[in-house]
Amino acid sequence: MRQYFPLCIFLALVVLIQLVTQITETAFYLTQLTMSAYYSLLIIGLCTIMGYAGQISLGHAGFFAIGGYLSAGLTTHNLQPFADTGITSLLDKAGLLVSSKDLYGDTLLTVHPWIACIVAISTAVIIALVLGGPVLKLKGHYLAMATLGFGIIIFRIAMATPYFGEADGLSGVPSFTLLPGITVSGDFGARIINYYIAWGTVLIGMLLLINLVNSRMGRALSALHGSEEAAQAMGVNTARAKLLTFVLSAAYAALAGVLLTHYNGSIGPGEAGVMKSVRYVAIVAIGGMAHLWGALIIGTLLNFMSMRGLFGSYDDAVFGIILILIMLFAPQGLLRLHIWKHIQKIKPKKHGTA
Amino acid sequence: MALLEVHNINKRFGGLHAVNDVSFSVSENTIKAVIGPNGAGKTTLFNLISRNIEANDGKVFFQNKPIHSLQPYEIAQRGISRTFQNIKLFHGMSALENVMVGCHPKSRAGFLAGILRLPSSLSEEKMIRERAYEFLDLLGIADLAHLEATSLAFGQQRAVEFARALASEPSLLLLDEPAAGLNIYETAKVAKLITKIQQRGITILLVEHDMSLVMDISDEIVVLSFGKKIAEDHPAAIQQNKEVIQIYLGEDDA
Ligand SMILES: Nc1ncnc2c1ncn2[C@@H]1O[C@H](COP(=O)(O)OP(=O)(O)OP(=O)(O)O)[C@@H](O)[C@H]1O
Ligand SMILES: [Mg+2]
Repeated sequence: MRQYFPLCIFLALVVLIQLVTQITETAFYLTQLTMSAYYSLLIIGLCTIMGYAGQISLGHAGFFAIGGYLSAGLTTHNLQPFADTGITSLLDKAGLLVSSKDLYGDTLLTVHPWIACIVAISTAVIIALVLGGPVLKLKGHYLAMATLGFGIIIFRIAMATPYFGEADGLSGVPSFTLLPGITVSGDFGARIINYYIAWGTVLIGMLLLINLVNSRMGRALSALHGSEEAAQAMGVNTARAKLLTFVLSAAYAALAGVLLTHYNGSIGPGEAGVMKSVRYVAIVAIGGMAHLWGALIIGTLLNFMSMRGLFGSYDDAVFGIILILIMLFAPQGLLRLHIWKHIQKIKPKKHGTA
Repeated sequence: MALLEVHNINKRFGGLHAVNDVSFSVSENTIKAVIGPNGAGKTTLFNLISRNIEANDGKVFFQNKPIHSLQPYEIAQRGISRTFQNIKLFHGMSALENVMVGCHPKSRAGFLAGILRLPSSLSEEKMIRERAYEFLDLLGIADLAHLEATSLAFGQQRAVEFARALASEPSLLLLDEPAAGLNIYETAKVAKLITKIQQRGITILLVEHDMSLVMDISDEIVVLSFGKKIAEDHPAAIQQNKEVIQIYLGEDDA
């Protein structure tokens, strides 16, 4: 139970921030805080594969984009012209489609957001399985190379496919009713509820990952990070453990993509870019790799600052520099900088030279 | 029928024939030692059995079943556990957690059970923790349970690795130089411990340079030299073996 205590503090903090914005009439911050929440969902997933299983993925923006683009494509493209074709009518009869009226009163027939969401996440999971299966059997950081290639391909597909809107991306993505009364949408009036939906999702996501890292399989992951050879000698199927963690983190990224796209009502190829993946890796590194809370806090802060425009046009460069600085000066992450130790190390030197 | 049978196993590293057509067997509930000068191929032989490295050819049978094409983790699941000559503890984890990983083959909670904290996984987790404490206790290091394993003293690290290997409750335990770097007092404790776990029904194959330890506790000895098996016999006979004496005397001359 001890490990859940931070979750309670976290929940209290989420509520507190919302109340403060209400009192100070700064509710406009909620929009960026909501968006930060979805990025943080991706980041805590990436933290498990990087920090706990010790594998770097440079393709998580790709999984995010698969989630966002597929749900956007399926829920915006009108199937009405194909309403009489076999497959479409079959889908319709099965209740997988929804019809609505557009601005001009024409009937729109689109895939139900829940179905689109399931298709999007399943696709990400299958791709992660196919990509990670052979690569994670090898030792070393082959995953970084494979996922880098994958990320570039996804970006190119997004840029070149008319279905995904090419350089413009997709807009007009409808809202997504998760449960009656709980709808992911960017409507002005739904700002507060969406803030809570987003952070509620992160809370559940954190809970599941905290469970994982404190379980038998979580221990096996830390073990293989420590010594793959010894972990295998203790009966851990290391390839499988790494693969499942990779797939889980890809599913988190895809879910984040789905929800943020419905929240924003649009998605563009920028979300699929490799620079985004580098940014996520940098954030996990700053948070201290194997540190879910560190990743969450740093992820929320930096994404919030980035979206408030604090880094100006140097946005991507800032994350690149941060990554370099962290690797040079604080490979354990910013939150684990033992300042006192460093000072103590310096002291005797001074005496020596005096 | 022997518990472990090795048939004509070979390993070449480039031009070096590190293990040259070695065959031997280990009978159930005995202690067998593999000795030989530095670089004789003892560790390589262990790595071939535990499948950490691929043999060029040869067969290995365990409990009458072939195991020479299994994955290393499957070897552990079959009931063969090991320690490493250059200690391989999991850094960033406590001594207790290291030993808890050792319980892996004898527990089952999977990925989903862990994520969802299913009741079955919780009771198993409790069991794993208790088992791990028992093995730390057996090694006399229960008081170190919560210290980071890789920060411990050398002898204590060997003990944690020993406990971790035992935690998988193996039928066969491979010990690669369990007394290396230990003082006389610690070495005597290790000798006692090895006979104690043999009495629990565990078969032991060990590599060791400490001759008095080897002669004291082993039932049989295999001697390797430049990758080849040159003798296999009871300790008393090995001590009389001309070829063996020559190898060790030759080494002393150097
Ligand atoms: N992975 C490897 N690649 C190349 N050569 C290797 C490898 N592992 C071992 N060797 C070589 O194989 C030979 C046997 O090494 P091994 O470690 O098995 O010897 P050993 O009998 O365990 O020696 P020691 O008593 O010093 O531990 C040595 O010459 C060693 O250099
Ligand atoms: Mg050796």
